Amino acid sequence: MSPLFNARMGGFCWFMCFLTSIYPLVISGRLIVTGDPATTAANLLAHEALFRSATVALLISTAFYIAATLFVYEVLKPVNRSLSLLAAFFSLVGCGVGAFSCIFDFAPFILLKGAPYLSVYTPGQLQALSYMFLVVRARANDIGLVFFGLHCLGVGYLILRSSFLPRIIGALMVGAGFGWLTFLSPPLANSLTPFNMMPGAVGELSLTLWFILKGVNVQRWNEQEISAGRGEIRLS
Amino acid sequence: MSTIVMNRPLDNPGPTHLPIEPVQRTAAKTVGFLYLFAMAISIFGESVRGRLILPHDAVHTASSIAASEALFRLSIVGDLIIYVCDIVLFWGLYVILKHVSKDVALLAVFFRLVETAILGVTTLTAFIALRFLSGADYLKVVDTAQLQALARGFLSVYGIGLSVGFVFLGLGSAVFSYLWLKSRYIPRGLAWLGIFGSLLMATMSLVTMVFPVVWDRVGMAYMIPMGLYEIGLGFWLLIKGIKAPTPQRA
Repeated sequence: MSPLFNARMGGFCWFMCFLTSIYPLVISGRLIVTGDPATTAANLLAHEALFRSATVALLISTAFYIAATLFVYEVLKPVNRSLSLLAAFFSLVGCGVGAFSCIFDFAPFILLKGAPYLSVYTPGQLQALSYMFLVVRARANDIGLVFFGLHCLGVGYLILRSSFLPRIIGALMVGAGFGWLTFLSPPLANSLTPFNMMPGAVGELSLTLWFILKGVNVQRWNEQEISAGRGEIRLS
Repeated sequence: MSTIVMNRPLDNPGPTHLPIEPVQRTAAKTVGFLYLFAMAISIFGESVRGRLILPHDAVHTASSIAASEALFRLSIVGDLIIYVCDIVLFWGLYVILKHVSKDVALLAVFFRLVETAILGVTTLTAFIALRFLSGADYLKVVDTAQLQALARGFLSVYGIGLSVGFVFLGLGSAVFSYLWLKSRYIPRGLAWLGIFGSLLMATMSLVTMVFPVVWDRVGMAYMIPMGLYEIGLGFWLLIKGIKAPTPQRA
């Protein structure tokens, strides 16, 4: 596939990932009340399909990110093939962790929907357990974000070293990477939110828009691809 | 080393009229065997868990698992064996189908590696359930009935984990099926069944997550086309192998 096609597809998939992840953020922000398991439980039961659809949106977002990872890997391959693959691997681990964390989103519905075998617990206990699963889910998601941070760092570095993409986007992506890395410490990330997400939003949006609208400088991409090939021959 | 560099595809060459390499034939046999092997283990696992895990009944689920704990553990280990085999399976599919398109084959591998990661970690929920039922001293502070309820809850999470994994299984398998279709290594009908079954699996997994009622109505029926495809492809690759496409159709 041509570098221009890969860039456009990479930009499109990454943008779709971005779009589909906003919806669950809004829904869970509205339904999950911090520190209040009872209200949260009532909200979830009242808007079950809505909350479930938010989780599904997150899985779709993950699928787009996997596709974006592949296309961006292809675009940045001429800069450094193995480093580009390493960045992709970080992203895949992040996708696995992020998608797995979605499983805990369904736990409250197992606990709260009045299955007879759960009557050995009081409603208050079940609400507390449900709430705990939502917290676990958020922490698991944070772990995924750290791996996405490493992906963004790799992509940013490769763009900085490339001859066919503007260096400013590489710098913004490095910023995005450090922003996501703040999730290494949940208390730190919490105190910085939403400012630690800003670099991610700016970096990833500028990358996606550039990839979609401008793609890559094809002539320079080909030059770097050829010189990368020569480099390998010289080594051997 | 220089041969590797020489083989490096600068641009994707027209793939389908290339002769089949011996490594592709070996990979095809391996993939065929692994599809059938994994299918047999997964049917075993599903039937064991279907028998031991009772819907909405924590007490009897706990006692039936306690009565056949080794069998239950074997069904979970069976799942782990499938996931290990799956990684070899993706490698084989990549070796066969990268000749059609390296990029697209890699995309399919990416989807399926994420699937395997999800499914692999999901087995943890079954081991958590076993922990609750273990009767360990430190758990004596919690009522037996409460422990059994928690265990039953975690076994439900196991099912959800499978559904989440199946989304990415469906997507990856659809991409591989598309490559089978383009390759003409196998009958086109089989490849189309793969595309249909895989997309159906991914879509219906998502639908049942939003509307669990659908699952109560349909159950595992939506996985039948996918099952037929995997069994069909498994036998085809094992018995007939892959054949070079006839060049008259460009």
